[in-house]
Parts: sequence; C-alpha cells; structure tokens
Amino acid sequence: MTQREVERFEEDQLVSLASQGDQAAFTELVRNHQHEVYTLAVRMVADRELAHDVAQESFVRAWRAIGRFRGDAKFSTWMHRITVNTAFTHRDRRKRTAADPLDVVYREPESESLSPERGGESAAIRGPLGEALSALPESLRSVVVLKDVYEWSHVEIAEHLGITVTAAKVRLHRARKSLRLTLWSHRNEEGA
Amino acid sequence: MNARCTVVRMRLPGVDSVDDLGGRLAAHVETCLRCQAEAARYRNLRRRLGGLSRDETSAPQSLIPSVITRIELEESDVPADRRVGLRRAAVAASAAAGAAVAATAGTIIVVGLRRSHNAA
Repeated sequence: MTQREVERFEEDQLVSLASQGDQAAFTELVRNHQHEVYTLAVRMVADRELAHDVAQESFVRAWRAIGRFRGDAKFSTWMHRITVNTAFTHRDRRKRTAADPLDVVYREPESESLSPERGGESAAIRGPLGEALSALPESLRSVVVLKDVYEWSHVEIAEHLGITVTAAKVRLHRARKSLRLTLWSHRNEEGA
Repeated sequence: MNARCTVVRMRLPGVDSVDDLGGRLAAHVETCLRCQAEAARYRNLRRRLGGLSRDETSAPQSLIPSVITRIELEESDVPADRRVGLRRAAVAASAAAGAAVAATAGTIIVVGLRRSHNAA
C-alpha cells in the first residue's frame, strides 16, 4: 500500500491495515495524530525535547501493540493512554538518570526549557496559564491536565498513574489551588 | 470572612461546581459575595483549562521520520515472533515451503507409481 493510496482511507480502515502490518497506513495514522500526541506529551513533561522522545516512543509502542487494538475506544483515546504511560516511563527513567551527580549538573531546569525567550512555543504552553501549569510539580501537573484539559475521570487517572483515587483527588485539589494562587495573586489580580 | 467562608475556600479547589459543596455550603455561597468571587475564579480556571483541549502544539517536523526510522529498525532487529512484517513473510514462506513439500511428495509418488508400473 503506497502513502498516496492510504491518504484516502478513513481512520478505521487505516487502523485495520496497520494492525495487519501495513507501515504506510500506520504512518498516515502518525501523520494524523502527531500534533495531539505531541501536545499531550508537552503538557505532561513540560519539556519540548523530552516531549519529542515521549511522542516518538508512544507511536513505536502503538505500532507494537496495534494488533491488539480492539477498536472499542477511538484510536486517539488509545494513543492518549499510551502517551500518558510513556510519559511516566520517561519520568521514572529521568529520575534514575538524575541520580547521577554529573547529569544533575548538566541538566536544564524544566521551567527554563519552556521560557518564552527560547521561542516557538504554542498556546499549549505559553501565556499565564501555560506558565503556571509548567511551573507545577510533575505529579500535580499531570493530574490537573488529565482531569481538566482531557476530562479523564479520577478512576482513569488513578489507574494510569498508579495511584489511589484519593491521591488523584488530593493532587487535583493541590494543583488547582496552586494555579488559582498563581493566576490571581494580589500582584496580578487584574491581569489574570 | 466567617468559618463557612474558610471551609468553602478549603473545599472549592476539589469540586467541579458549587453544588458539589453540599447544601449548607452551597447556600452560603449564594449569600456571600467573597465566596462567590472565589467560586468564580475556580470556574474561570476550569474553563480556561478545558479550553486548552482545543489548542495544539505543532509537532516538530522530525517526529514522523524519527518514528518511521525506529519502526524500521525494530522490524529488522526484533525477534521474529514480534515482527509483524517478518511474521507475514514467515507465513508466506511457510506456505511456499508447504507447497514445495507437497510438490516433492507428489514427485515421489509419481516416480514410485512409474517404478511399480514398470516393474509390473
């Protein structure tokens, strides 16, 4: 199947072809979903370079698993779940790497990697809300992003992050409170 | 600010609407301008966060080529039982091998029949 041929297919046809090993069909799926997967990755890890790695790994994992994709959820929903899991794998890997003092010395701070001065950020991470989100600790940011941006339930969040439902609720509470204080502090009450 | 205001402020970050605070606290918010203002901030925050779902960050142009490269590497490196392309090739090869076996068996039978026919 050529790339030109698969461009005309509907998503379920592309998924069906990809699950039979058709790389052109899978590439078309990647083309159609690259931006939303990358956006979710950026929101989860708050680092564009790392988000590239997360998005790439997510699509590779999807390729490996697409034969088991049953189609009871939308492909995009399935990709979101894979992306969230991949982001957490990368986070754990990064934590282990950061244990090496040399890596700690040379690692860029997260907030700096998202500073507007470096240019190129989109609405997903710029502006007061984006900055406030990226300043949150990863454990809080992931919960508020999944709940309030992607409308996941507390149960789904707890399952995917490997935490209890109560912990998910506590993190959401802390994240929203922190965002509220950042956006409507006495100093920028008017600007928020 | 009274004790109810304090409780409302403590609980607002964890709820999706003022109604979720429960009867007494929700009723308090209806009569307290400070709590209404605070509830409005959280409502505004949730609405702005929900609005982010419509914004997308453009993926770097290198993403698709890097995915394709990774997949092609996997297809050439991973064990055969995990390789979709090779699995299909293996099925085709086994079909071809089956056909070859069948053809060989057929030849043997034909030769055997000819020999037995000549012997007779």
